[in-house]
Amino acid sequence: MTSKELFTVKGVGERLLFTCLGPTWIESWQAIQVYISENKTFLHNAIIIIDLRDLEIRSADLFNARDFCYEHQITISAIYAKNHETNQAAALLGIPTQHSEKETATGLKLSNQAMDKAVLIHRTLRSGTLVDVNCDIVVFGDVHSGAVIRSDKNIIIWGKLMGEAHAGRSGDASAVICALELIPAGLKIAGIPFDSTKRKPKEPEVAILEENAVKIISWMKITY
Amino acid sequence: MGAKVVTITSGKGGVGKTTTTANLAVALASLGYKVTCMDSDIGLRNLDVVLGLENRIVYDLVDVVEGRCRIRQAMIRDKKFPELYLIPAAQTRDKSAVSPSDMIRLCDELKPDMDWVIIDSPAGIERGFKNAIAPADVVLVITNPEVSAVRDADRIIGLIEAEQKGPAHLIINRLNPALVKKGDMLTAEDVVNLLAIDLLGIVPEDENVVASTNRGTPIVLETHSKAGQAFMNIAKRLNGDEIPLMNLDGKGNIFSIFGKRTK
Repeated sequence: MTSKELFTVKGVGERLLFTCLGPTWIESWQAIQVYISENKTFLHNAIIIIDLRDLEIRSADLFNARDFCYEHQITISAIYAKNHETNQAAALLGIPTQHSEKETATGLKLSNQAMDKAVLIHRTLRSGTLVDVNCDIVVFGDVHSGAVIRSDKNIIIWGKLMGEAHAGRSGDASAVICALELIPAGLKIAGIPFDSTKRKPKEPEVAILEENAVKIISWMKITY
Repeated sequence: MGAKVVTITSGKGGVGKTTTTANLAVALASLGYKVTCMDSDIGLRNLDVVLGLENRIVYDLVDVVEGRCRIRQAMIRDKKFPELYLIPAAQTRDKSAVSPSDMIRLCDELKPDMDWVIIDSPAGIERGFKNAIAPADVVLVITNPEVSAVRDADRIIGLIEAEQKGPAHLIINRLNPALVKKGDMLTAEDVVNLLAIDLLGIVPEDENVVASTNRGTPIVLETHSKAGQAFMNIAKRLNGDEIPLMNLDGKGNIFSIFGKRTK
């Protein structure tokens, strides 16, 4: 297959969109690597988006791709993917994700499908992990100090929240942050911070925004 | 059967990676195994000094990778254990002189003739760390019972998981039972709870470690030393033996945390 059959490149605003067309990630990625190596000067300090369409890739592959780009002074600003596992792998590395780009004249309009879904993470988020999503996020595990979760919607943690969490990042004041143990290093809802120093919670809690201030209430006291 | 490749890493510098590498290598050699330890800290080599072999270096890891010698020529035989070898790092180059695939190739070459290959990783999370974990079958994460070292260990464990090299095992180094008792140091249980991975061993603070490191004779050879005993126990656990943790009179029941698994 020629490189044109394995991927395409086009400008999207100030970024470059690489769309993988190959049957597997490895084939497309090898062709992209060759392209990057042959166009080092052109791609120096470039910000790119990779559209994986329905390809599935592991976090380790994405990790290597990000390192390769980093070595060539290229930043991966987002991943477009239809595959759920690929979205999760990108989220784990803190790369913003979207469903595959819709065919539009400008190439800038993104699908809203992700807004209707939640990202589920079945693992502990360790120091240095950044998860940045535009939908609800549920973590089955702890969020360690040094890990950061940002979401336009709600953040639900079935474990301890010891890192930073920012729900309703785009201004959604109805967003909440729940955790079995809420002892965050930093907590914000719709941009409003909460001073969480010296907290010793004894039960699951929910952080909500009320009268322009973040309030923590017991999970048990929530009424629906 | 080929050798098992063990990478010793930490994230933070100065927590005892090189000391642990030297001691585990000597302990395994003293148990009768064929061991090669490899210093992957290119540009900042130290394992040769800790093993007391700094005056015997002719070739190094980069010489092997760049084809100036065969791997056997770069292997320095230990003075005491004839089946213990060191492949030193280059001192005049940097981490980019070696790639992860070079490390995998070197380890594959060593595996048929060895029982254990132990790799001393540099501090940090960049190229040197990636080189060190690329060939690993087992990754040991060293931390001290202090918040900054634990946070760096957590970061490293996350990267090991992302590279699908785990599960990592934990060694807590330089635990001071007196400080733990006073409440001035994290307990072993605190560290295990924070990191949520298997605990392989705890090495108590021991001033003799510094002296032995300076002499180039690993502390594990000194049977009266608690730290030496702890390293020997860790080597045996690595080998699959069931050895209980030593009672260090620290806070918390350290026996109960041995074998605690990651979530």
